Amino acid sequence: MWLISATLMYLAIHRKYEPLLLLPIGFGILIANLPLTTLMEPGAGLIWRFYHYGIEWEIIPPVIFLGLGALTDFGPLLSQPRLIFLGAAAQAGVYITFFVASSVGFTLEEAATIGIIGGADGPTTIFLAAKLAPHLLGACAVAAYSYMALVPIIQPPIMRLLTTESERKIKMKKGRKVGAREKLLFPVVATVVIILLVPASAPLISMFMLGNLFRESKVVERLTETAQSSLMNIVTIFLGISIGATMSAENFLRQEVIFIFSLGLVGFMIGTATGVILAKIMNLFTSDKINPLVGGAGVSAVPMAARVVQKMGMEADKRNHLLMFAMGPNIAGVIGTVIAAGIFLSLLK
Amino acid sequence: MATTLDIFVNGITGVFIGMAVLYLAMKLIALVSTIGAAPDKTE
Repeated sequence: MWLISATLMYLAIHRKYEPLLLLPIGFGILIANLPLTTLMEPGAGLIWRFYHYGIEWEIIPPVIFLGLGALTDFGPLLSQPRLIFLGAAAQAGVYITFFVASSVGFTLEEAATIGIIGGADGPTTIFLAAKLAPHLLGACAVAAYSYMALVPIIQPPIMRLLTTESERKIKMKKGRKVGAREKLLFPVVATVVIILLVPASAPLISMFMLGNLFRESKVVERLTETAQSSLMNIVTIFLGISIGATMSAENFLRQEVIFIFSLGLVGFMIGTATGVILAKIMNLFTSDKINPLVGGAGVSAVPMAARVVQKMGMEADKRNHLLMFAMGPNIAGVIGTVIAAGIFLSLLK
Repeated sequence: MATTLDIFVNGITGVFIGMAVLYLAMKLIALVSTIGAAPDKTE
């Protein structure tokens, strides 16, 4: 475990792989695997308290979502609403992985936790794992954040394989201008709609949309700024160290962890593929073509997946800027993963 | 308790239905936002 701790800290510091999470996680692993400490002693340990009150009480992931909502601009999605289905398609990766994980012997709860890694959404993975399979929390969180960092490596070969050169060159028609009133109404309406459909998603969706409402109202700049920066940074510190501290040797050094990492990667790859494939299918029914690369941004790795789409689009045609188009499904993917997690909770809890 | 196949089918269907409802909500928001507002410049 000390080696794993050192590896994560190396990746965070020297390779800058998701350092905000992997650095405290790496350090948390180190301190949890030192002998004779009482840091994780139930009821008394310092880090146990961070974990118990932050994660088991489901406070930290929703507060991170508050910050994410305050950072999110739904404009690209609102200007081209049909792109929301690309975010939905990416969740097929979650459920296919769930099916495979269940088939190889994991319990339904464990399979759901492994499946959600495919959504590439760290806080949602942690939220679901804490509820369904706390013993897998550490492995699933590290897998989710590692794959988010590896998006620029994992996604391009899949997207290249599934698209032709001419498809990658498709120039999309610019979406309409989105007014301030729409951006203000969206978080309120979306909260009502999603919570009525999937009540179990309420903690994450309500905080996500509250953060977005702060941003779009433009009357609570102090709250928006706090949610986006200081508050997110504070909870990220507690989150990282708590997750790392759950990764004791007896919890982590097990054969099933290899399965978790493998299946999570497969889920992520499938999610990328299904987004691209749905974009190609949608093109059969519309004259206003979607560049299929944009479908690859349907996973929740915001904004890394959208940046990958931008880069690949420009490789095919230097004048083709796909970033703002890709942000639509990228943001939709966050909502999709939360809905997917909510459905798992509804069916399994 | 739901089976694997139940969860698989209901899950994928549920996500698409949820996103479809949200799509309709976005269309409705766009419509409502034009009421009483100056026409948006479409590019």
